[in-house]
Amino acid sequence: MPTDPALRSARSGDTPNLDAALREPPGPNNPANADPALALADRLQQHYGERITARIVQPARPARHAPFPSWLNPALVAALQQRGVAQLYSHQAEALAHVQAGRNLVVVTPTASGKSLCYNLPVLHGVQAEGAKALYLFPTKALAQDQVAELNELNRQAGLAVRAFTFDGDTPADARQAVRLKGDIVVSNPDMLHQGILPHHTKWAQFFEGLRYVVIDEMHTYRGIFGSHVANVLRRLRRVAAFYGSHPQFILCSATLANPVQLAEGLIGQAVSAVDRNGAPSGERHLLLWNPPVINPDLGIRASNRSQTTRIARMAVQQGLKTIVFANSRLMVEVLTKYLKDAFERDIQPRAHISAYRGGYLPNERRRTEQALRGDQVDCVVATSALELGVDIGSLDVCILNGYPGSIAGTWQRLGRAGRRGRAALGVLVASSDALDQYLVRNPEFFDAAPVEHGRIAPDQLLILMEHLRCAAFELPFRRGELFGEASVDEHLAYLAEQGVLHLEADRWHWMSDSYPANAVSLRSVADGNFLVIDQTDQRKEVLAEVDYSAAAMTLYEGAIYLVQAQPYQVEHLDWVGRKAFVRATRVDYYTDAIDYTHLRILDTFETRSDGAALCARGEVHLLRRVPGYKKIKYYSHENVGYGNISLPDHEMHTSSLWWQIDPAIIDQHFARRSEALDGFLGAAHALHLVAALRSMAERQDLGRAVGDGNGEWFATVGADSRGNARRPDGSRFDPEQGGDRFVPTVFLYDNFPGGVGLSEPLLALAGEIVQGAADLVGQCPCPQGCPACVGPILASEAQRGFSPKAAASRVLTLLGARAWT
Amino acid sequence: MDLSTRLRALQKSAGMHQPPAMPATQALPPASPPTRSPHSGISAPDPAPSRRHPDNSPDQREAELALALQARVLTPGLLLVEQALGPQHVHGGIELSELQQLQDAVLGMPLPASSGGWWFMDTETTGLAGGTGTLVFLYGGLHFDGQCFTLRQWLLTRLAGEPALIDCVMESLQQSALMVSFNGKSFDMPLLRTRARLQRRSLPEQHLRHLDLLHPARSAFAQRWPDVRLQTAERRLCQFRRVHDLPGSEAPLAFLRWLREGTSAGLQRVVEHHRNDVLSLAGLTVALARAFLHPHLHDADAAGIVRRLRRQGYQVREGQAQLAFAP
Repeated sequence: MPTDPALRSARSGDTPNLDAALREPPGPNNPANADPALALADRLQQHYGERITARIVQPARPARHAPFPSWLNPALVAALQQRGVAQLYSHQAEALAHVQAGRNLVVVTPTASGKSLCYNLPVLHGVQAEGAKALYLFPTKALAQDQVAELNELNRQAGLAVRAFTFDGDTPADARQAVRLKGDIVVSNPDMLHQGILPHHTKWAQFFEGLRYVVIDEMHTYRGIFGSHVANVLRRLRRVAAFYGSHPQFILCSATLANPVQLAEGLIGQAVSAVDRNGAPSGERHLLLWNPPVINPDLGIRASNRSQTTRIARMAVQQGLKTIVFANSRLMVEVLTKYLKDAFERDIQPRAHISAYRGGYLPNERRRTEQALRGDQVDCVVATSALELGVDIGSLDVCILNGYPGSIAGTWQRLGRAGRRGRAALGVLVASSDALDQYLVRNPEFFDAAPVEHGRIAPDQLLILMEHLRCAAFELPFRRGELFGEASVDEHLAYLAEQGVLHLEADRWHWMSDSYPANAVSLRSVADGNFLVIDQTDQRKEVLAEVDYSAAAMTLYEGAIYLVQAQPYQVEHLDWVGRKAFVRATRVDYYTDAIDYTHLRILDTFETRSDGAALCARGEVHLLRRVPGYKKIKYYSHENVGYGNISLPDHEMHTSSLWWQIDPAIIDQHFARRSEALDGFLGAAHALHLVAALRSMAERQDLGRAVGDGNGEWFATVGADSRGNARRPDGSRFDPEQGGDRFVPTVFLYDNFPGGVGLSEPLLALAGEIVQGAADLVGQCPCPQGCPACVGPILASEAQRGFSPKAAASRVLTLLGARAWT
Repeated sequence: MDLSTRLRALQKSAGMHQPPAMPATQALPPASPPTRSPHSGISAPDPAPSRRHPDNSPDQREAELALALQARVLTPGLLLVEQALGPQHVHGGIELSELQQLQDAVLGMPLPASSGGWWFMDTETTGLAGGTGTLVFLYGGLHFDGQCFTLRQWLLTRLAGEPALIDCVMESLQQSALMVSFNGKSFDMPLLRTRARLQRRSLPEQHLRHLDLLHPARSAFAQRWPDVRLQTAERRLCQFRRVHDLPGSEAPLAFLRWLREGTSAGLQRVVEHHRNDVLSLAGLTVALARAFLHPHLHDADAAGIVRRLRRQGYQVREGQAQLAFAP
């Protein structure tokens, strides 16, 4: 990737002794604030010290070099030397050695460490030496295009005749044939492999016959449901390659994770070696964790992070520091760009150039912005994650994150955008009022210590597996007893034969249906049955958005306010069977929040840990979700201004779950009233959910949370009065005081996908840390009685009543986590 | 819980379409009895009674089917229906012998001598989806050697017969200098190449010229007809009317019924349908050549024809009633 520091320095004409500046760390003789980025950090700390919860410093790291391996094509070596790369970094040399030895490999190093050379060098070498073919997979088309540009440049400089092409939905039909027949390196994405390449593999026969390398960059994005799909696509790839006599070697690259080897092995189904000792140098890097000031201490409500981000960006640009601002949505990119443009409009100084960059812009426009950034014609760019990945935009000084990007790995990736050779880089994470943001800015050790995020996949999840078995059977007949992944799938294939999709003849299952199964399987969505949101404002009838089946009941009920880019639309009619919601643009000062009764029943317990008083277990559960009504909540005041009824079918699901319980006798000892215990469980669930999602790198909607009875007799919800209510499945009130010995409140964290995607097993292993994390989250929260950042939103009346949901939650968490589990 | 119960429960929770509770074979519609066709106005005779032979061996069923089709069993799983047609064969209103007088290049493509073998080719498949999962179960055509016509249809009766079928495909291509098809460039040939590749073979095509009638038919009649399908063309240009023809879209079902239940009535009608298709290819070649020469006599779009010929690099002069052109 062109962001490799070694490459960049050669272009920008730095001094040959690149590391000299880095060998002198800032110290007493070398004051930090001589560096403009650090001077800004100092100034921010001076003026806004109380908003900065931590300043994390990563010291400068010198380069560790290694010579080019002797076997490497001298033309490649010469091309790199021409660029000023006299030696490899140690991790690059290590990676090359693994590839040369025929091992599968995962490279885990930060942004801008030259990781693309880890695969480009051995692949170009192999293509040149043996006519090998390579397939590169990137999660986005933009990254694929960048990679081809980089490959072509290296190829040209080395005078090789290697042909690298992208192959994706944008490849014109008349160019596809040439890519298939002439491409040495084909750069694509998993979706295209799934729908466009594998089902037509005979057209790619030559390519598959020569396929020797499969490169998978940005591996950490392939986790959860998406990753489980991709693992199955890779099983299909290996199966098709084997048909042509090829057994390619896999080279994966990933941002920092707690379990890169495990994830890599799960994805490719083979043993993988790791290269994780980064040899690339880096300048000193400072990260400020920034929490906007509290504006309503009672309810724990903070100022918006937008204005804070704008202020910091403005200061940075005024100091002449080239700045990137990351926002988490396209809408927020536009809002921040406007705020910044407005701010500089008012300045007397020469106007700064502000650019926005996000998905949805035309490719040409994006290329122009990238060029302007490289050419220093832009002072500040506001971007979504579209710029997080390897797109080349030159060097920047300051990186501001408007809100936590959702993962620590993603945070470091974005922060990696800032940093010039020999200079310090500054990152500022401006927390939103979201509970996870608040948790992180109060726990800076997450950014400092060893990675805690686990990338998990469940390739054998039954629904996902069945979808890919159909696709695989379409591609090549299955032999009886053939393995797919690690297991025999005869039973599954027999089921498909029974459904009339396959035909068994003489020990082989043949596809026998007039359909193209890959078109029915989207790698990035949960299941089919998505709802279309149709805008009928002014008789328009345009599709406005698409909503997952699982989220439809909670967001598209009649009367719901559905927000698109902050524009409210009201749902007028929901066609449940036809999967359509008809909406109309409206103007209201409230939003709607569905009341969700989630009722879980434990079907089977797989594993239990207990200390006698409390237990943590995992197993299979039956979930019934009913959405009986919704609340109208006024903006800003968060007052409840009305209710509506919802009449929708119940949603039922079998899935896997993790749960915590406390012995009823112990609960009664510690709580005067069981209703208070219930409030404690609800608050504890809020905190546990947050910490568990963080640890498992799960999207929060993929991990559901519920509080209910371990015997399935009642479930709890937060009522309109913000207090826990217990109800029976028929909706009638349940009085916990009358429950006798059978009052067993339970916190469930469940896999919000039919059948589960394997979240609960690793969570049980982490249960102790999750409870501890949740206890810290609640205990360290500065709010008096509870707030959105710890136990969930509370009402002002709560504080006046003298009851503290926060204290109740703390008590529950203490009981859950006090002793050692066995 | 067994797999299918688990799957049904999961699919229900995922809001997915419920698969039928019974095997799909039982859900197939009954073989539709031929009905009075609104177009032909001819009432069809009763079909051969369809029989199910669950107890018979595959070999025995195959032998019975071969008998009904007057076919030979080439190898277990593959039948050949072969029939010599006299040189005077008439299809609809077209005498096929007119092919002998066909002016070279009349359809915008130089034609190799018919003595090298002309092959009017068509396939029946398990679907239109394309990709590696679509099977060709009936392949064949009308072979013209400059004098005589021979009809050859190879029918898969078991998937085990596919390697032998591919051998026959390859042989038929080797014996021809020209292939004539309708949409064969985009559909039949890519599919046959895929099937061959799956058998680790590659079709001999270097020597073969391919005249895909869809394209000249479109240039001449896209502006005139509601659609340019083979059956529209044969009706309008060859005055050929099919009698209780099996709709092409039902061919996949007929093959599935044979594979799963051993019922052959539908499959026999597919063979008949395919026979008419390839005869129409020959008839259409003659009829389209006439329309290209005399567009106004055949209500063809002269401008479209001229455009096509010029695109192919021909000089065209528009006469009163006739086009004259030279390469």
